[in-house]
Amino acid sequence: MSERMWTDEQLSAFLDGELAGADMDALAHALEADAGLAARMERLGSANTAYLGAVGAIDDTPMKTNLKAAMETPPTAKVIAFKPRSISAFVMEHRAIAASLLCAAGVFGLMSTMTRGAEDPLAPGADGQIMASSPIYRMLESGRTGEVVTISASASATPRLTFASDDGGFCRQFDLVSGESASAAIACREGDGWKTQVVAYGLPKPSGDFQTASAGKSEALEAFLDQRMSGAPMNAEDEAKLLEGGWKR
Amino acid sequence: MARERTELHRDLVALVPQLRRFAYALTRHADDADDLVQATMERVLSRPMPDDVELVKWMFRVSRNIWIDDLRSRKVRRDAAMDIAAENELDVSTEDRVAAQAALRRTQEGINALPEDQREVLAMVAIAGMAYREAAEALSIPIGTVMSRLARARAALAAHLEAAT
Repeated sequence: MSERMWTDEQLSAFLDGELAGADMDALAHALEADAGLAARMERLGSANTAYLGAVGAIDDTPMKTNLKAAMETPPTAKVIAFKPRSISAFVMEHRAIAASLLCAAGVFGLMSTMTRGAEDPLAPGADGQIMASSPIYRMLESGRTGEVVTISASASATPRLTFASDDGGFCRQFDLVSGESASAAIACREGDGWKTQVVAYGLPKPSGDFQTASAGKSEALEAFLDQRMSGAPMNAEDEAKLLEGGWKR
Repeated sequence: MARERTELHRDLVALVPQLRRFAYALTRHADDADDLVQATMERVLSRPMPDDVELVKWMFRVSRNIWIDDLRSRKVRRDAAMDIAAENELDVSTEDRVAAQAALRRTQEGINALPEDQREVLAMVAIAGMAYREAAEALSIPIGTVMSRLARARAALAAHLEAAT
């Protein structure tokens, strides 16, 4: 008896009614005859049902007031165009903050070298330049997103986000945890070096592998990202190419 | 013209529950989902729609584009601790409800653990009801990739749920 092997891809496609006609029939027969195959199908089907149920939970969640209002207000002839308030308003609201922070970054660089000195690994040099000899520089150059890089005996840094900046360069957001204090910063690659753009001190310590809690609690970083990052963050594959290629496009 | 837009608005409102599920599947956060639905409605109403496309499909396409272009980058930076299970203040007065809440939370964790590309395909096919070919075209990937992402997503979710029992 020659038994046909069915892959998870085929079983999953059967659930979606996406197998070719002959395969749909063949698999339907096989499911009747093969309890093991039926169990595999049930496993995928149950996962799919659970997925639909979890997503369907949104139906029981109260709708936001803004959305309700948008639904209850038909457009009139006087309305020329709708603006996506929830997106553009946020960016506009923060644009001024971001612009001032960009200016402040250079000043901060000068101040920090005077006031914070060597004990602060985030303290950039003049104009925000990060010294090539510093562990932060090495982390930015070669650390993968999510990788915890040891900076000193009591401090570690983790790249959290890599993105192509709207001006064509590359930037990275990272966390720095030192003892009980946490900071987050964004640095962008300029020429052959890295330049600090914005730093947020005194943030809650991030917890868990996938959280970017520190950045989420810093309006300064949010504002910067909204101004300079319009696209999606880089995926692991593209980031790896940059790390291996020395940040050349 | 105004009349057309009024009709379009009415048709969109009727599709909101469907769009809301799709938006939630993409964003995994009720607030973000509602923002995405609202932005989608506004954009569909303010821009010309191709003649040869169904409104529901156009709406999903616009929604996904807004998510990719405008909202996702902000979302991934945010603390993702809140999920639908936490937001829903269900009455947990009976054991069944407690068990249902736990199952929902567990499923939500499994969904959250999926890679973004798998979640996206799952939302497009299982929630938006797109054919594999349509999802492949929208994502500019081969149909075989759509198939494998779906299978891996479902298998991973199944494994996650089994681990909980």
